[in-house]
Formats: sequence, C-alpha cells, structure tokens
Amino acid sequence: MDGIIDSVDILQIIEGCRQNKRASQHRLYAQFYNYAMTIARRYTGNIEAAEEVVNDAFFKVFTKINLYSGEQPFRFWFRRVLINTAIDHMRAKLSTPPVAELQPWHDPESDPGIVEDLTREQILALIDQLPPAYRAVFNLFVVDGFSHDEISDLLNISTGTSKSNLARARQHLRGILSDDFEFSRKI
Amino acid sequence: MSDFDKFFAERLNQEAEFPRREKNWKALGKRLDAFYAGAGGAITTHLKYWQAAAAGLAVVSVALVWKLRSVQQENSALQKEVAALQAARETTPPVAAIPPGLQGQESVPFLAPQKQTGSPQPARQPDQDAAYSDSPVHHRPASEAKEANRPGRIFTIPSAKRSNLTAYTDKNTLAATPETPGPNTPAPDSTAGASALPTVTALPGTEAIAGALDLLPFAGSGLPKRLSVGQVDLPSAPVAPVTRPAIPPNPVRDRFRVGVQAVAATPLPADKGLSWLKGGGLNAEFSPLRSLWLTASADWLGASVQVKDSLRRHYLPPAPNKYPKPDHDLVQVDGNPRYQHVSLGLRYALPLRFWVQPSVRVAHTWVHRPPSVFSFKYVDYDPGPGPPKPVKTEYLAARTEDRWMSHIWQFGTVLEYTTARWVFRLSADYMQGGGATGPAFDALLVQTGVQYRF
Repeated sequence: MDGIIDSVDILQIIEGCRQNKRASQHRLYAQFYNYAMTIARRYTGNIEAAEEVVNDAFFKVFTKINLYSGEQPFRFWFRRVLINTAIDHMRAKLSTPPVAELQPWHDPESDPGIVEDLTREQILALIDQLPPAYRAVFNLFVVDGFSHDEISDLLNISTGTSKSNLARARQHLRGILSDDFEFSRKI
Repeated sequence: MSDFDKFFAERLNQEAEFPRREKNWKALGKRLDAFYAGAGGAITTHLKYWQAAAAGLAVVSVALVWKLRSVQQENSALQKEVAALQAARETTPPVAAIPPGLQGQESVPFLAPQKQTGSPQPARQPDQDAAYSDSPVHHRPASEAKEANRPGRIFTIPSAKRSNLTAYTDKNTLAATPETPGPNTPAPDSTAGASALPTVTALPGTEAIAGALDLLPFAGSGLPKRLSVGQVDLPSAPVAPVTRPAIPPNPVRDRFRVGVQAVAATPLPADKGLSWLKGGGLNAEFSPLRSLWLTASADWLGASVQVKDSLRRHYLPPAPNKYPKPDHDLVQVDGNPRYQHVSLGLRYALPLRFWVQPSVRVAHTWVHRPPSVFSFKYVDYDPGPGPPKPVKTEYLAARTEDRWMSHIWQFGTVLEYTTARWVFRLSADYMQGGGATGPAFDALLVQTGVQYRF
C-alpha cells in the first residue's frame, strides 16, 4: 500500500490505467479494494451496498483517471471520489426512518473502559444504527476529518444542520452504548 | 476533538479484509467493457453492423430524395403538356383544311389521317368527277379556309409534289380522293364494298396515282357533295382499355397521421417473476417526403414484479437502536413499476405494392421510470433458542427513485392497412440500450393501433 507520497509502483499503475490497460486497472483495484470497502462500509451500513459504492467509485476512477493531476497523493484523491460516491448513494436511498428519542441514564464517557473494550466490528455495528444523515456527518467529521463547511457543501445542508446532526449522532451513540451497558449490567 | 471522537476515528480507520474482491472485479470489468464499447474506445462488431446499416440507410435516403425530385419534375412537365393539349382540344374541332392560297406558297399544310377507321371509304362516281374538278383545293370557300387555320397534325407538301397535285386535280382524278370520315364529316350513305384509300403522305407521280385510282371500285353512291383534299379527320387519340388493377391503388397521399396504440413488451432476457409490460400510448407522424415519415410517440406501460426465487442472500436491515439481524432472509419482492416511453424516429415505407404496406423504422427512446413502491418480505425461520417458535415474518417497503434512461434505440417493422381516412397497423420492435452508463433496457415490443390520416 502506498503512503502519503505515491510510490513509483502506484504511478506506473496509474499510467497504465490512463491507457485503459485492464491489468493495471486490476492491480489498482486489488490494491485499494479493502481500503475502499472500509470507508464505504461506514457510510452505507451494509456490505452489499458498500460493494456497490466501491465499484461505482472505481468505475469513476477508471473512466475519469485523466482528471487526476498527480499533485496530491492518489489515496487522497481516491478517498474523495469514494466519499462523494457514497454520499450520492446515500442520497439515492430511502428517506430516513424515524428514530425514537433516547434518554441515556449512563454516560459512557465517564467510564471509558466500557467503550475501549469494543472491537471495530462492534463499533461499526453501532455506527450502522445511526440514521443515514447522522451517520454521514459523523463519518465525515469524526473519521474522515472534514470541516463543517466542507460537510455542508458535500451534503448540501447548512453548517448549522451539520453541527446539529453531529451532536445528535453523538447523542445517539451514547444512548446506544448506555442501553447496551444497562443490558450487560442486568445480565 | 474529544476522546470519544478520537476513539471512534481510530477504530473505524482500521483497514479490514473484505471478501468477494474478484467477483466484484469481474462485475466491474464487464461494466467497463460496456462503457468503452459505448464510448467508442473499442467498437464492437455489433456496433459496426449498426453503423453499416445507418450508412446504408443514409445512402438509400439520398437516392430516394433524388428519385423523388426527378419524378416531381417529370410530373410538372407532364401536367403542363396535358393542360396544353386539353386547351387545344377544347378550342379546336378535329378537322382542318389546307389554307387558301395553296398555289404560290412555298409549302402547304396538309393534314394526314393518323388512323383508319373501320368504315370503308366511299367511292366516287364517274359523273361526279366534274363536280370535284370544279372545286379545286385552292379555290375553296371561306368556311373551309377558316377551318384550315385550326391546328392539327400537319404535313408539308413540297413544291414539286404540289405541282403534281395541281396537275392531278386538273385531270379530275385527285379531287375524288376520299377522306376518312370524321365526326364533322358527313357520313356516306353507303359504304358497303368500298375499300380504304392509301394515306396521302407524299404524292407520287400523277400518272401512277391516276392509275391506282382507276383501279378502285367506284361503287359508292353516298359520297359527300364536296370533298377537299385538304380535309382529313383529326386523328382520335387511342384509348387504352381501362382494366382494374389487382391491388387497389394507394389512396390520396397524406402528410399527417395521429393515432393510438396498445403496447405489450417483454424485457430481454425475460427474468422470472417480471411480467410483460402492457399499456397504451399516442403517436403522431409527419411525412416531409414520400415514403419517409418522422414519427413521435409516447407510451405508458406498467408491469408487475413478484420474485420469489433466485434471490441473493439478502438480510433484513437492522432496525433503529437494535443490532443487525442477519437471521431474516429475503424471500419475496413485490412491486408494480411503471414506465413512460417517449420516442422520436424515422419510418420508411418500403416501395412494395401489397395489401399491407410494410415499413421499417428506427427511433430513439427515452424511458422514464417514476417512483414506485416495492415490498420486501423477510422470514426468520429460526426465531431464537428454546422451544420451537412460529416462523417470524417481517415486511419492508421501499420506494424507488425517479429515473430517466436515454441512449435507448428502437428498431422495428410496421405493417399497415390503409383506407381513405384510417390506417390500421401492427408493428414489432427491438429495443436496446442504456447499458453503458446505466441500467440496461433491452426489450421486445409489439404494438397495434389505428391512425387518422389527413
């Protein structure tokens, strides 16, 4: 896997992709598949939709590879393409189901041991339970490092809405964790 | 960023292994192939056939336009000629005479019979020779001179022949040259036993004509009182017998047609659980050139989806605030999608005469899929531990997005039965396209309908 600066190998692969060489496209796909799936999985909530997003993103990359100038590392450019594709996919999905208000009785932050014990899969399952709009803002801000201004542009919402959705996402996660904590304590 | 956020970011950025990489790559490879084929990166043989067909169609169209132009020019010329002939016929009786002043002119207009009638020619009587000789052609009365000015088929008698004619007339032989009776010529009383005289187109030597005339049987008794050598019948135009063609001629050419049609279509390949698309629509056609039509149509179709088998292993998405439930299998999908087709194209009526008129057509179609609701049935066959429990069934409803699909082409044939005002038609089309950058929309369509022509 390439680092911040693209290696010679990845540059050669990209050059092959510019010439529509199927072997180069396959190598790029194999190299970035898990990376892409990891990101797409966070936004879509399930594996099948993530595969769809990843293939859509690779399709865009292969057909518009000439738009990649090489000024920034390929990984960053690809990540941006992937996130945009995931957001487009999310927009095309169904409207957000109503979510009941949660009243956490236990703040997990006060007991970090509870959270730290969670595995990546468990955390992913928690994220999946967020409504898509909240999940997108949480992923963009917390995990992918976008600012609220960038999020508002990406999601076509106001900055205030972005902040509000992030706060609600955090509140939901805390509520879920509290519920889970209560459940485990009862057992 | 709080520790809470850092913790999530750290964990969620960990790269994990995911299965089905090669399978997904194959799917993407096929999609890329379709894209490059559609974008011209790699023109497939299939496309080459269509390109060749399009080029051939263009050549045929140019040839037809040229042919149409030449026929129009020919028609206009013929119309002018017919108008001139009709005007001449209305103003001219079918008899003309040699104008007065025959002698002393360089040439004399002379009307020659074009067609022998079935009636035998009257023969002259010997005692009438003097009467004929008393009215030589250059001393005709004014009424004859007037008629001589009317047009007709005119031969010119050369001067040398005219001198022979004069001499012959003086010998009282030519004056008896009978004419073919025309509409304005009094019919002889008795024509039995008479024979037709030879057509006078050029006069041979006087003696030879006299000898020939001497051989004629002069048995007729009802000769007209005055016969002039310049008076002949205007030939009547030969009229061909009118026969009814085996196939009735096409009705009057029309330029506009509007109509309605019923449509049935089956997607290709025909997936199990997806019914035929059925519906109806409107169409309109305009003909800028003969046999060539610009077509436009709009159809509204509907289908029903009920898929029970061949479902991939889908699971019920997790409900809010609950962990995912991978134990619910998707077992059935139901829906009633609707489609709207809008087509613009060209239709060419093949130059074949038959009871039904065959045509070929090509059209570009836009397909609109409005939002529709699908229901998904999930079943949990093993609801949980403990004693056996009934199967748990859950339903989800989903609404599809509004979508337009383009780059869909339609090729087909049309059979038409045309009456004075109505056209009854049956057509079959193959619809293909939309697969390069969107969902494929291949289908076979059958249409039947009626059009009003004007």
